[in-house]
Amino acid sequence: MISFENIHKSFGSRGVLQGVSLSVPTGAIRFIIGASGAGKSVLVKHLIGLIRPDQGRISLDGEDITHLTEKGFYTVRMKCAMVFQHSTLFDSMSLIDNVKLPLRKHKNLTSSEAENEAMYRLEQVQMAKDARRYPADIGDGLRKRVAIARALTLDPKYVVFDEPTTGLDPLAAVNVDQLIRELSDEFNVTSIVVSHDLRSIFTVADQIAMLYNGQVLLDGTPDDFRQSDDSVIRQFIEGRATGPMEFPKASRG
Amino acid sequence: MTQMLTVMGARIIEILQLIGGIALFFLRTLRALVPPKYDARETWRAFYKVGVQSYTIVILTAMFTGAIMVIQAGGTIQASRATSFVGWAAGFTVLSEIGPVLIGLMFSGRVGANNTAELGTMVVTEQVDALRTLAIDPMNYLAVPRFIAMIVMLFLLVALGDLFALLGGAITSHVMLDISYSVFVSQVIDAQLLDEYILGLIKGSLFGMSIAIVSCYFGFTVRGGAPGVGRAVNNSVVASAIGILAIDLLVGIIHHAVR
Ligand SMILES: Nc1ncnc2c1ncn2[C@@H]1O[C@H](COP(=O)(O)OP(=O)(O)OP(=O)(O)O)[C@@H](O)[C@H]1O
Ligand SMILES: [Mg+2]
Repeated sequence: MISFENIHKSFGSRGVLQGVSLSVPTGAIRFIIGASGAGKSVLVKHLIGLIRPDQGRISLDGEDITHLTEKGFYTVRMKCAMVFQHSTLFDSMSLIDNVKLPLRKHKNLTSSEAENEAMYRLEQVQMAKDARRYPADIGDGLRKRVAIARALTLDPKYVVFDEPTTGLDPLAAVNVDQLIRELSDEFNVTSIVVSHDLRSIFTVADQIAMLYNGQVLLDGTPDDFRQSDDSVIRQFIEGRATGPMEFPKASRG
Repeated sequence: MTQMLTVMGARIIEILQLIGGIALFFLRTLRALVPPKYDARETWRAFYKVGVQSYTIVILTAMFTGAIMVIQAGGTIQASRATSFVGWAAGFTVLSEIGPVLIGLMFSGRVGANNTAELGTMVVTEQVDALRTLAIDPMNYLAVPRFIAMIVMLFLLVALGDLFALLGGAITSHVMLDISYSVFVSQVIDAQLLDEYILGLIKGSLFGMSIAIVSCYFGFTVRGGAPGVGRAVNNSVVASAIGILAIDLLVGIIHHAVR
């Protein structure tokens, strides 16, 4: 069970999150949607301590993790993995070495065991044939798949996926959707998925929260979203360019 | 006038903050050294990169330095017919002073700058955050191997550079002053420069340490995307050069005091 309570976060004078509360029951898949700059990435980074809230409380399985130290967060991160929006593979390592790194660091495996384990993870995302290539030599979509493989190596109980299907071809996207569903159904993994991909939203999500103007505009099931007559939500899920939706000012610091 | 003072005051505070930040980073690096659980692969990679990047420029710099010292000293020495001093004159300054400083500066321009750029890029592309997310401490995983590699390698490079500086000096003496190689070598040996040689090696290690700390610090604190990386590399090289000269001065003073 993950819960965010009344999270506030500003960068300079820009209040990105202004009282966001939402929770994810164990084993569920929670989607977070919203326009670019709405603060989706900022929100999910709070869970693993990469960003600290100005105000509010974050808890994981009932344990308050809001004020853990950087060291304290290492134990959280061992069970809570994250796939970043931009794949963040280590440029200096081949793809398989990327996947092997957490195994080398945290598990007592022989090098051939680590190799097999990493290969298995790469196969899960259909990247085994490219194992020896380097991140700079492959495209964005492929990199993202390897990043997913790397995030799953330590068998996390929680996974944050920040736009996992953006940049993937439709087949690979469906595959990633299935993987997320499988993790939940078979291994009871709890996931938070940030996404713009309407198809994944309506096929994979158990619950959806829409961020708008620093708050949760609607928190509900896919059906709640389909049936909502809120004009901002209608505009978003129908993908119309014009409507009542205010876009966050594009600014950085 | 008051405006100028305000600007200068702000600048001084900025520099003090920077020194404080670097000092703190130094302490954090030392703390990350214990327990000694270093990533073997990353450490090996750091040694390899540092060595490969720097040995040619160090050898070239050293040979030129030796040659220049002989040319500088040669005129006066020839005029006074004291050619037996050439080996001493070349060896003395090169081993303890100019050799380590020039090698340190070249090393910083090459290895330090490259290190700041690499770490800075890792910061702006969130690779450092990704490490933290994998529960791997960037200080331990990234800073410590570079710290060790730069100290050890600059020590070795100064040791190697000294040989090439003397070689440069010997060739120049032979060509310009007609001093045979065997005479030059025996002059250098007679000059008993072990003290200077050791002082140079100590300086080399200290320079390596300061280049490692400064270049990692500027890399880890990059803000503002690719342009930020460029600025950081620039600042890192300037700060390393100042650090090298300051350490050189400090060691010189201490050495003088204890003699
Ligand atoms: N470290 C930071 N420092 C300053 N501002 C930041 C920082 N991180 C995010 N922001 C700002 O916070 C706002 C929300 O960013 P965020 O990345 O969460 O948006 P998002 O909802 O994930 O959008 P997208 O769909 O484009 O990924 C943006 O305006 C961004 O510029
Ligand atoms: Mg985002």
